[in-house]
Parts: sequence; C-alpha cells; structure tokens
Amino acid sequence: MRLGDPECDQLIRVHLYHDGELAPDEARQVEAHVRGCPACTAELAKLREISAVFAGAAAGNEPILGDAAMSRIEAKLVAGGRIYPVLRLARVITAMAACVLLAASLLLWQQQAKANTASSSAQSQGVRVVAIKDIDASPASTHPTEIQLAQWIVRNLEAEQP
Amino acid sequence: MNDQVLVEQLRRSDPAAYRELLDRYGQGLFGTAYSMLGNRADAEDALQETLLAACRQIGSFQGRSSLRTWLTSILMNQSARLRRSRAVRKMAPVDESMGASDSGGRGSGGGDVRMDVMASLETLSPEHKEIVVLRELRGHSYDEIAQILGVPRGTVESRLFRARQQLKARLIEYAPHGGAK
Repeated sequence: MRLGDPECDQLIRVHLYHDGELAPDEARQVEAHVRGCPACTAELAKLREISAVFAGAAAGNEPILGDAAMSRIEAKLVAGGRIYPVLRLARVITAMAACVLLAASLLLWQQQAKANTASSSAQSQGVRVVAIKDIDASPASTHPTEIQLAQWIVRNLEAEQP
Repeated sequence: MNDQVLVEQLRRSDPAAYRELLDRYGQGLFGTAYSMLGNRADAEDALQETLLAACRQIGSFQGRSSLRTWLTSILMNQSARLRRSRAVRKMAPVDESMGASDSGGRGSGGGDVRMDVMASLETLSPEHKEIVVLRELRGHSYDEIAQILGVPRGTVESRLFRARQQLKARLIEYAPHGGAK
C-alpha cells in the first residue's frame, strides 16, 4: 500500500514490522528490504525514536488513580449494583407487558378482520335487510307519494285477481 | 480469578467483583482516559462512567473480545462524549491537577517529556490522537485497536501511519540523542 510517500511503497510495511504485526516470513522479507532501502531504513529509525519518546513519557509518569478516587468509584459501582437487579426486573416486566399488549392487539385485530369479512360477504350475496314498517302506524315518517304509490299497487293487484 | 469468573460475578452484582474490576483495570483505563482528556477530573469521570456502563451492560458482553478490550472500547466512547460535551482543560491546568491529586500524581522526573508528548498529541485530530494513544501509550495490538474503535484493521494501519507521519515532525526534537532528521 502506498500512502503518499514518494520514496518507497513499503513504508507502511515497515510500520507493521516495527509494531510486531507481521508474520515471521513477512518480517524477514521486510528486514531484507530495509537493509537495501535508505528510505525505509530512515523510516524505521524514526519510528523507533518516536516509540522511545512515548515509552520515556509513559515510564514512571503514569498518572495514578488515588485511593480516594478508587473508593469513590467503588461506592458508585456498589450503589449501581443494588439498582441493576431492580432495573433488570423492571426490564423483564416491561417486556412481558409489551408482549401481552401486542398479543391483545393482534387478537382484536383478527376479530375485527373476521367481522369485516362476514359483513362484506353478506353484501356480496345480495342479502338485504328490509325494515317493514307499518305505513299506517307512522304516516309522517313516509313520504306521501310513496304511500299513494303503494296503495295504487295494492289496488291494481287486487283488481287483477279473479 | 480469571476474567470469565469476574464477568459472572459482575452479572450477579456481587459487590466484591466491583473492587476486583477496579483493581484489575482501573489504573490502566484511567491512564488511557488521562491521555485522551488531559486532566485528572475528566479522566476520573470517564473511568467512572465507563465502569458503571460496563456493569450495567455486562449481560451483553459475549466474550468475543477480551474484557480489557471491551472496557477500553466503552472508555473511548465515554472520552469522546466528554470531550465533545466539555471544554476540555488544556495543558496548563494539567500540571496543577496532577500536582493536586489525591495520593496520586506522577513520578519524579520525566514530567516534561510527558508534557511534550501530551502537547504533541493535542495537535492531532481526535481520530489520530486516539489511535496513537492506544498503540504507543497503551500498547494495544492492531486487532485490539480495530475492535476498540470498531473499524477494519486496514483502517487502523493507514490511520496510524498517517498519525505517525504528523507526529514525526512534532516529536523528533524530544527524541533521545537529539532526534533523527
């Protein structure tokens, strides 16, 4: 892989070699290459110096987490530990409630779907529900012309009968 | 007690496990957080939030990575969140906060080198800084860094390469024997 360095396209492998990230065979190949490549030789030297600076900075200078801080954090963890079982239980209960709600919703939806299917089936078969009203009992609810028409039909039917 | 036993105890919310977790990983995680954030107060906050989150989510830890790698992954996320949400104190207060630490602080001598290294890290982008901290200061392998940051190994290789190219010019004057040219 070449990452913009004009001198050698093996530089990134030199980094992998420096970090001990190559298999033994690959490491030997890089060692052989570095011996004959001034750019990679210089790169390896720089990498070693950078790592030495970091190692020097880290050695003996690690900021120490004091006892007081340790105790504070431990107390927080213990307090949290008392809550976690409750939280886990609450999570389980919430999940169960959600399942029950989902199941009930599905059941209701299925029943509604069945009812709708039955209704549309009845309509498609041409079944009508006719409310027969006593015309004389509620004359006001029926239009006068309809009453007259009905009476005319009845009279004609009676006249046709022998 | 190995990590697997520790994880089981944490899942049972065993109080002894919290102390063990702190003893085993607290110092290392604190060092990483300090390198990322540059001051003790924020580093302690990041460590505390990391361990609380880890104990809360311990049920989701499946052991695909080591416990240390998993904790470091949480720590890096917490550090990034803290860095975004706060105006992180710069280098001058670092000296004061380290000196005022509770029984802690740094060892004698070599403090200037650390300051220089920290100053050079601060000049890097957050992505480059975290990868240099994980590799050079904490000694994680490329595969571990890839797991911690959730990026492919190739990204670790190229990102570390570029970060070092930037560091070369800034750090070389502090290198032993006057540095390489």
